Amino acid sequence: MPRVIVSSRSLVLVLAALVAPVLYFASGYRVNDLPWVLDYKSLSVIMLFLLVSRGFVVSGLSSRAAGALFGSGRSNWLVLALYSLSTMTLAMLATNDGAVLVMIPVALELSRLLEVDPAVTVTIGLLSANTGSILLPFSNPQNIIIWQDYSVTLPEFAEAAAPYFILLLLLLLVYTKLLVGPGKRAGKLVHPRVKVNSSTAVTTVTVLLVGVALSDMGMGFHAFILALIVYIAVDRYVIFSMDWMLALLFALLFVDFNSAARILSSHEILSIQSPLQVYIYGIALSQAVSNVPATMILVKLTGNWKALIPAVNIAGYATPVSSMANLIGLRISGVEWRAYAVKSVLYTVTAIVVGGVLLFLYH
Amino acid sequence: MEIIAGCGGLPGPPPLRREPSRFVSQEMAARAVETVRVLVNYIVPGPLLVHRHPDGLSIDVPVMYNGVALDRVHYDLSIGGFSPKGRPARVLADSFDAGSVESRVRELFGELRVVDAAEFREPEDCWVVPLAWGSFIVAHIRVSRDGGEVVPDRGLTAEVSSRVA
Repeated sequence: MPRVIVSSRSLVLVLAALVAPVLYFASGYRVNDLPWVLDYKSLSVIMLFLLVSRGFVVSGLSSRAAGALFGSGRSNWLVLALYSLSTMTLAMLATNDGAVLVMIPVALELSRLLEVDPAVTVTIGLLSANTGSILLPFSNPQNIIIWQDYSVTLPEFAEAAAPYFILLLLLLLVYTKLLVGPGKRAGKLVHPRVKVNSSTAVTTVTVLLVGVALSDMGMGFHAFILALIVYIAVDRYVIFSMDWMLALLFALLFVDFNSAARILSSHEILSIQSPLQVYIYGIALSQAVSNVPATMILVKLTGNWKALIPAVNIAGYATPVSSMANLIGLRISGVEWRAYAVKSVLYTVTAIVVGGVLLFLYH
Repeated sequence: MEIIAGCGGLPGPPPLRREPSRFVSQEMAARAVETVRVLVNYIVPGPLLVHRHPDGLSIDVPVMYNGVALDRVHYDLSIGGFSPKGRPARVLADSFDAGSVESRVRELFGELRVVDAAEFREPEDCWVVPLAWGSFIVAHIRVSRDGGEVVPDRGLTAEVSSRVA
């Protein structure tokens, strides 16, 4: 059956655009409330780090990082554990989506070279990208929204997220061992290096550092404008590589879900108080609408940002819908979503339980 | 004044002031070919880039390596194979089965082979090693002058990463 060339994302975009004005006015907002409803501060910071993640790709820096895990004479498990740690590091610096873009093709190659099912290596890649992005406030869109909306500082955020990150990282290394089974020794993996464009690389690292500092001071919008100017001057390819449709989609989602949150809170339809409630609603809502829109709603309904961090991050493991990184990864790998769900289910359930226990002990 | 013989007694043009060419050797070219020979085991097709024209559509497939694009190959819908470099194949069609094209392209990538020679491009200061499918050259992989590093196509990398989500 021929497939018409209309992406599912275009349909989501049209739907979000049609719903936006209806929800906006139904929630009682007026036209001059638009900047607040758009949440332009969070939106700017999300776009800033989307740009940075593209800077890592276009400069060749992330490719170079991906190649670093290839060596000689390591066991399959060690190669995949190193792959997992590399993916986490890249996700921390270049966002989970940026890491997926680079590391999922590597997962496919590793599956062939190590003679492991591609669904296994791709699952490890996706779980690693989502785990790596938990710790820092700029590593994924849901963290950026929490960081900006609650005006939390970077150290406060990292301190709250660290116990979950450390535990989930260790759990993932053990789970990798379980998935791979008794490892055989991998042969020598020779991997040609990609030439790095040094001016773009230096610019990207600088934009990342300055962007983090300015965003932490509540100046994310200024940081985004500055990054745009710098990249136009230094390397326009980074601007061209930005997914501007995705930025537009985020803007519309902010309008949709901020308006929906106002309707829910004004009619007292949903009241979320305790950390456990935040955790359960965060995980459940993310399965329905994905974790970024779920965060957009929940930040307006609860003041408990410390419980929101594990909720919307751990929720991202569960299904392809729950995190956009999963959608991107499965799309570029060609791995069926059912195969991913089967391979990841044990880790996801364990992570949800462990996260809940930690939340209980931590608060 | 120096008179140049054979020019009717007129002074000759000023000598060309060019940077002396940087050193290249057979060994460097061989190393570039060897780098691509290893690399070809790791390349994967990127997302299909569909271009619509008044007289139909054409499909390009990026050659991806570690998240960067190296070049694009032209896919010919009518034969289910690659078209030679320099000749994008246009087909009169509004739609196509993207899934089957993607799986066919994956098969075809396994049939790519490295041509055992390289040309040097002075302005870019890099070697270009051709990839062939059957008797067609379908892509060019650029490698640094010393033959050790792959040089990405940054414009194509930008195009791919703007479309991937």
